[in-house]
Amino acid sequence: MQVSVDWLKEYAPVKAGAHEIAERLTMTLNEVDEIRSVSHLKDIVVGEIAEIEPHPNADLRVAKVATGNTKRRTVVVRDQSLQAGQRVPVVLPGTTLPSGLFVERRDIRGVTSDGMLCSARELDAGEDDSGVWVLPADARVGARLPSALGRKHDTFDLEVLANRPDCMGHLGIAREAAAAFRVPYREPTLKTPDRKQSGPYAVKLPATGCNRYALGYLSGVTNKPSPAWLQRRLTTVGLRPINAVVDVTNFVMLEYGQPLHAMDAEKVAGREVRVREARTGETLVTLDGTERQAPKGSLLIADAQKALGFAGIMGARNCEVDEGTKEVLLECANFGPARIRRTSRALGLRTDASARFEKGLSPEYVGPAVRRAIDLIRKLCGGQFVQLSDVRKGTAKPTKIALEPRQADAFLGMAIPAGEQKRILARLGFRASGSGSKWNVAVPYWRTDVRLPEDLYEELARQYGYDKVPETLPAGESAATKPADLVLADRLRDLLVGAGFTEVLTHSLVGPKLLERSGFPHKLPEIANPLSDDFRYLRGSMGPRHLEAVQANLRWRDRVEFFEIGRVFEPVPAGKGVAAPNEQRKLLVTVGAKLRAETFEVLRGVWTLLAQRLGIPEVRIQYKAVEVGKFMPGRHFQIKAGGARVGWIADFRHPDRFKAGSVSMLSVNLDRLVAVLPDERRVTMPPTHPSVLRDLSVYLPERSSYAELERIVTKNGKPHLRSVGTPELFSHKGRRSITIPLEFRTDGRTLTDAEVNHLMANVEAAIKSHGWEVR
Amino acid sequence: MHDPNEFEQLAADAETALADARTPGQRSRLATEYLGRNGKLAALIRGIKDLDEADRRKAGIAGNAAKARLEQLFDAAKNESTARPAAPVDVTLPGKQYRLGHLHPSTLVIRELERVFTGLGFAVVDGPEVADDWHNFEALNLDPDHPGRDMQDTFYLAGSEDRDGNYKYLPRTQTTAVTARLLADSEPPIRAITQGRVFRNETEDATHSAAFHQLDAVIVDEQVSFADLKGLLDKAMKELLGQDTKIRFRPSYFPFTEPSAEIDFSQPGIRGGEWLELGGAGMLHPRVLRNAGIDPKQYRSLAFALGQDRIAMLKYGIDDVRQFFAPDVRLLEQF
Repeated sequence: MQVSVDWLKEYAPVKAGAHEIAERLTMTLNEVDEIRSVSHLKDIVVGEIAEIEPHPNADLRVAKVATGNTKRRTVVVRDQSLQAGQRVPVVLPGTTLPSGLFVERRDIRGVTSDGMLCSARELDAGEDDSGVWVLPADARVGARLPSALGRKHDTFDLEVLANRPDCMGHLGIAREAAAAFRVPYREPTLKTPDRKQSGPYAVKLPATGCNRYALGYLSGVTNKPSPAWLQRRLTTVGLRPINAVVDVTNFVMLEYGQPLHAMDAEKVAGREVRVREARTGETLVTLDGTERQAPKGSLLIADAQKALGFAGIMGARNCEVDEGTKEVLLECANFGPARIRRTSRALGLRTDASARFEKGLSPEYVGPAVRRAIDLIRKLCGGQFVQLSDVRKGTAKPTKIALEPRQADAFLGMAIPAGEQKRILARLGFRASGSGSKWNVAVPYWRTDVRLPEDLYEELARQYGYDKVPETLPAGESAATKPADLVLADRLRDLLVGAGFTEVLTHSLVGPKLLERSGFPHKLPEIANPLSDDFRYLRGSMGPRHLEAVQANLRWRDRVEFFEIGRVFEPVPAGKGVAAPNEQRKLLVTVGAKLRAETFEVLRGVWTLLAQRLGIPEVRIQYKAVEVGKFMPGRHFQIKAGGARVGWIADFRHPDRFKAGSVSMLSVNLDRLVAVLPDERRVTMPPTHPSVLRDLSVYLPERSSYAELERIVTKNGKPHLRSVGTPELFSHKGRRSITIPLEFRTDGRTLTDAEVNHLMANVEAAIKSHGWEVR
Repeated sequence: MHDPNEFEQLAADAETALADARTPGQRSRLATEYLGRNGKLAALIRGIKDLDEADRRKAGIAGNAAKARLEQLFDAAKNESTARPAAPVDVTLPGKQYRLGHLHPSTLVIRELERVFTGLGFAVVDGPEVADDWHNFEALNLDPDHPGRDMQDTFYLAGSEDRDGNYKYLPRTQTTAVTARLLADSEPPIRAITQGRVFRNETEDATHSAAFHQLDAVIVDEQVSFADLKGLLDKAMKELLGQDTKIRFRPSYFPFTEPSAEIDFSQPGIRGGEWLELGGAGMLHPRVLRNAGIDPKQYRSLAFALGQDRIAMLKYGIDDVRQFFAPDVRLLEQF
């Protein structure tokens, strides 16, 4: 909420300036975002619009602006709502705006514009960017902006917490400022009595959704532009003055935080104002000129014939107050937050009023706010105060909380003297009664957020000072355990980084276009309200995003090798009803090369490394060729370990779609892998006697399996064959040849040549009898 | 072999040749030439058997002497060669190139945080990325119409609506959803952290991402206090970013904590020590404890959530959060 410092000081006479107030409130209430003043606008002058006409050649307007000299300036402007007589900031040619824009004299579609009129945002003096900034009527024409508006224009933007509707008005923030600076807090005195029931108008409320409805009736008012002081209050915080009656309703909303709605009584049919549920298909034109259909279950304000507005959101144009209005109906009501929230969402219409009701205003604001508004209208527009009805459902009982000051100390871990606790509560409007160790605290009506002792602890802590909370460490001991799958994930990361792979993270949300291009399945859990089509599904695999990353990175590398550990999702099977999608933690290792390359072999090696280091013996692993469209036929294998499908390894079939020559992937399911990891690992002590090493070379026929060869070798090398080394493939005389280093050894003695020769002969004979040729 | 004196000649030849040798390679070849199994000395020794009786004995002695002398010669030469490098080395060359991979900066920060918190006795727990409405919102004191839900723009899963059109499942908006599950599933005392991806329906720009990483921590015990919460965060941030790091609490509002605080930190090496937002903290609301079957009269609970990506960005000077999910090896290779 944008807060005027000058306005705030009317209720809390703080001596400090904008910056100091902002800093203090940041530490006691909530963050103050931006402090704005006009002191930086020394080059901007106040102008008065003398005439304004349509631009002859464009959908623009041409204004003649008086800036103090005899000559009027011609300025082209877009704003269609600007009127003659309004005062506006004029940027003279040769001036640079805060945004860096340099303003000069220039021709705009045939009219020479001698300067520029700006919005508050363009001048970095406020939030409003809806049109030209209309200055208060007493801003001296020709004066520089800082001297015309002075410190009275200083504002800051306070982010109001979701539980503090009382801070949606200057009074509520003044109350906090007064407490923070230890100065008295003053509310306006009210002249209008709190009710005057007898009068022509009746009010009818629905069963739910409206707790209180006050209707004021003023007759014979003279509506006109507001006086300068009121215009200044509104323009300073970014609201445009309209006419006195409407300005008063806005002023009181910004003062108390309680929205009001003024209606022209002569445009209301009959003598009953009712709050009712919308009928199906009912439409109305709201004050912004838009025709809107009432959502199901929304509340309307209506007379006997027609809807007069969306309750708590925006009034209808058909009862709008203008300068010709003589009879005023003033609505000041309390609407339930849930209903306002739903209707505002359904309409896509969020207003200053709905934002306040959504937070859950206390119904007790209705009385003072409507009386204040009637006071002001009578003062500014005269007329007769005829009626003030105040209808409410149920009576509000003030909240009482039992507070033990020592309990507060223990909870906060900070001792606040009991006397200080009482003073803090009093400053915020709480009344603590009782003495000794147990108090009874009455919560003021505007603090709808305070219900429990813990809520009071927070009041005490933030007012005493969060910076005074000591830094202690919790007592007690506990074991820092970690689940096995997370430990495994860490181990895999370390192994892969050691092997030269770089860890990446990719988005969990994917879109149909990418899925299509990569050939990965579409049937995935879908987001009901995605940001865009590219973020429509929860990923079923990291693959598509990895392909995208391969393409992106091959722009500056010939080859990329990376991995990701993350969660992937499966759709809920049909017929299972409403259920959470199945989630699995997976590892995906991807190798991509610009040209055709042996990326498959790289990943096969990575899998060997991982299996070895995790202690999964080769004999427990099986590979099964599978065929899936997106992968290269004959180059896609399922990996089973200990009987469980722990992953797959494959060449991607369409690397060209991602501007690559080859892309291979290794996928490992961590949830399954962790289940087959060996519980403990045993070592083999180093041998005491030397081994004998021999190489075995074999010509491999087409479509042969190395695993088969290794099985024959292992079987026939018994009993002294100890290990089979890493095989090497050669092309020898146009044939595929494999060489395997074999290690023979026995315990307690060194093997003789004859023994080894004998075993080698056995191995070679077995290979030959299998029909293969030993080289 | 004609004469036992040939041994002496051989030794003399070897000495001369060795004196001319310049490189360790040449010396090594000479050693093979003279002392190798098929070398010159071996050939002479094999010839001894062709001599007559008297010369054979003499030649045997001479052979042994020559062998000893040659071995001594070549040993000495070898020692000399190791003591005196043959060619100068340019140490400013980078040497053999090793290729290691790189951990993601987010993982680096996660590991640091885990190290710090496990050191303080926190268990690491984990939970699903898709949460149900109960654990993500309602259990945390966020009823369906709670205005606090507006603080977190939520994605919902299509097809998970109930009869009133309310969605039951959503990609979690906060890792506190896992904390809620943990509280319901375990008995106090509890002391745990959980971290992972969270999702918000926010248009992406340099400071907003539809997905990011969050660390959530909780302690439930009989005596924990708001001061413990501040002390814990102070210690953690000092360990993570250096002992000259400071933290401060600012008032805030979260539906699931009371009191609540925004955590700011200041570290002289990061953005000149200005106060920067780190996350949210507070004492869990009594209703949150009751929802998990924990008696708020007996137990108190502190909790906080930190944005890991934000820490990583500030710690390493990454200026665009979108970099976290759009892998660029040119960035990642710097870690």
